[in-house]
Amino acid sequence: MGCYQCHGYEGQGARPTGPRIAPEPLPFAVFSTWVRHPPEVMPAYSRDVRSEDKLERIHEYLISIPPPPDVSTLPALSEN
Amino acid sequence: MANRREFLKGIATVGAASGLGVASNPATSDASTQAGQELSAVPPSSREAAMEGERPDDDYSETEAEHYFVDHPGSDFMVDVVKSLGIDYLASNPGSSFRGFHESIVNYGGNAKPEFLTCLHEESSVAMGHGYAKIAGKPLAVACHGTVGLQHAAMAIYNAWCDRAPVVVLAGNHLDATERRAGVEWAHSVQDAAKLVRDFTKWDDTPMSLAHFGESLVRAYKIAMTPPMGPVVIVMDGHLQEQEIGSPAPVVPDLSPTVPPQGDSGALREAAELLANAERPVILADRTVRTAEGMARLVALAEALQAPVVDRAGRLNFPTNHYLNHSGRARGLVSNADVILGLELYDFWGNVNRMSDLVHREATRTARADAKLISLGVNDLFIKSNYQSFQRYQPVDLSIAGDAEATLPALTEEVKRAMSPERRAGTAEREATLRRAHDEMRERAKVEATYAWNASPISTARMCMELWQQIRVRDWSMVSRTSQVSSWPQRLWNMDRHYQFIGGSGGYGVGYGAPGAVGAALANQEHGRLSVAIQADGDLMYAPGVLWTAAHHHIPLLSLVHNNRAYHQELMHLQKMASRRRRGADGRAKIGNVFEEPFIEFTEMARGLGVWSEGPIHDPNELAPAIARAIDVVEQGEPALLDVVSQPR
Repeated sequence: MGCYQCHGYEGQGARPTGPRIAPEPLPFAVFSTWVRHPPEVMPAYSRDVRSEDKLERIHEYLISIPPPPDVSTLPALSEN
Repeated sequence: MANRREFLKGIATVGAASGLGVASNPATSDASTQAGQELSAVPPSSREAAMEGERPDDDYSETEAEHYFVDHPGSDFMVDVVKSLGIDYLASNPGSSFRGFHESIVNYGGNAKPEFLTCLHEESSVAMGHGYAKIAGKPLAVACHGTVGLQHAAMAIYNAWCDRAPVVVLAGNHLDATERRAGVEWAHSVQDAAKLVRDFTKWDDTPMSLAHFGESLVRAYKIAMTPPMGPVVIVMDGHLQEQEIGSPAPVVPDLSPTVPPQGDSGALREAAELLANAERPVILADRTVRTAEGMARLVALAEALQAPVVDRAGRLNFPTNHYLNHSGRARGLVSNADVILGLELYDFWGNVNRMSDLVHREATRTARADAKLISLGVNDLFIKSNYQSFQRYQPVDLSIAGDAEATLPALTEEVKRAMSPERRAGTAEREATLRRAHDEMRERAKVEATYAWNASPISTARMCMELWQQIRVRDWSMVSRTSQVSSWPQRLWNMDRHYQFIGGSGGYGVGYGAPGAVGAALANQEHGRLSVAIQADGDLMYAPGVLWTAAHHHIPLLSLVHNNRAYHQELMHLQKMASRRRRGADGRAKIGNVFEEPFIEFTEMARGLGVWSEGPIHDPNELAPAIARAIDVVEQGEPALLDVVSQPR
């Protein structure tokens, strides 16, 4: 669908293009509303382009993404 | 012609007897010397000495010698002028319209100061000059055909124009139609060579004599280096290059550098009053700082005001680890500010307004309606009509024309003068709040960097931080832009020296990245700095031959290819268009935008161009050791490239 283009393959987000959407995505109802009626720069994905069913599968994928490691366990970040 | 030749012979004979030479010499530009003290720009070889004095007794008749030889070609004088300006490099790929100049560079000039840098595309030559100037603080020269070469160079000249970078372009041409050989020389001749790029150069000229050339090149250099800086073009006529210098021999004019203009003192006082009495002042800096002193000046102003600074990243304007750097809080700061000071802002309007990218575009002001806006910069001093890089008009309360870096000390003094004891006490409170907010901003960025840390393709945060771990203990310089990797270096690295970041292309013309980095690395080389670049994959493919130039000239540069296998910005644009039209969520936006089937093998390409390379690297855990190996290569004085298969942004 192209979510990765702005939000990354793991939904981590990217500063210039889109916020983090995983792990722990918004509840599905909110998520769906956001995708259909996005604020600001995100394009709207209508039902004829992406059905509610397929949106649910995307949501499930976002839920399945594991939490990131803690900063303290990553020397490249914690020593900075 | 015979008379001129006789005259020059006479000069040479007298010179040989008296130790004097002709006026065509860099020494003539030095006020302490007078025309005619030495002939050659470098110690002459025995052959040169012979040419300059008594020639071997050969059997050429006078007529034959005149037919075959030119003893003092005009392009020698042109080289003298270039040398007088302290230009260290000439970036070029060869062209017959400046063959005389080329020969003078390598033989008469000894291929030193300037040294000929063998390039494989004129766009690369100019972009190298663009990157070089931002580190060296002065231009190099580019030589190209006035026709086909300048057309290749045009896009890079536009980038340099937008980015306010000085580049001196020397364009070969054959103006006199009766002197042109049939065929190529006609195709490579033009009435007005510089017209092609006149819309986006500061100045150009087509000299009709060598004396004219000397004056115009020195003037061009002066103009290029006066803020707002920019590229200039001087046309080198083929006839002038290849014929005898003539008499009287022209003299190289002295360069009179222009002191950068400072803002009006009354206006600065007014600005200081506004800033000193503001509750929530914000400083926005873009192409502001070009020296260490400039950065110190901006820090002094910010500290005097206890005002947060948002670095818009046209250059590295403000230390990223200073508690007053709040670049990651731009939106909130601007929307709450009561006074906004813009320093050399490329786009003031865009900093205080937003234009939605929806079907119906709507502009909304993001700054408070009552916020006072102050502009200090040189943008209003030089502007042209056709290309719209000047951005949308923004009314401001106080517009001060002046070079911001040069003006900052005076502004800071006025701020200190305007600050009442009560105000000073208020800023102390502000300092505590800003320190806390800065620390929180940096800690938040660290947490954000953990997401997708172990992902493959490799996250841009991981790529940047693995690089940072290894360069942080060295004297380093980031010579590529960072916005395509979510600006992680600005968010998490400690960048506190002006050369540690030099901005991007300026005109968003793809193809600047690789040659710009090579040019900047060239300038860093003499300082022993480790130059690093995060190189966009699509950008590299515009003119990858610059990798060969880096290898050939032993220019040390570590490039990490941010290989997201796409013109990714355009991919997002196309997806937006498809979604807007309710179609194409099936991946068809990839058509025309992605580099698949086959993937581009950057490692093989780099190796083929003589550059040490490893990759493609998919596993983030393999990145650190690969970077270490690459740094070893770079620290031995060679370029190295790592192909990192990475997340989009």
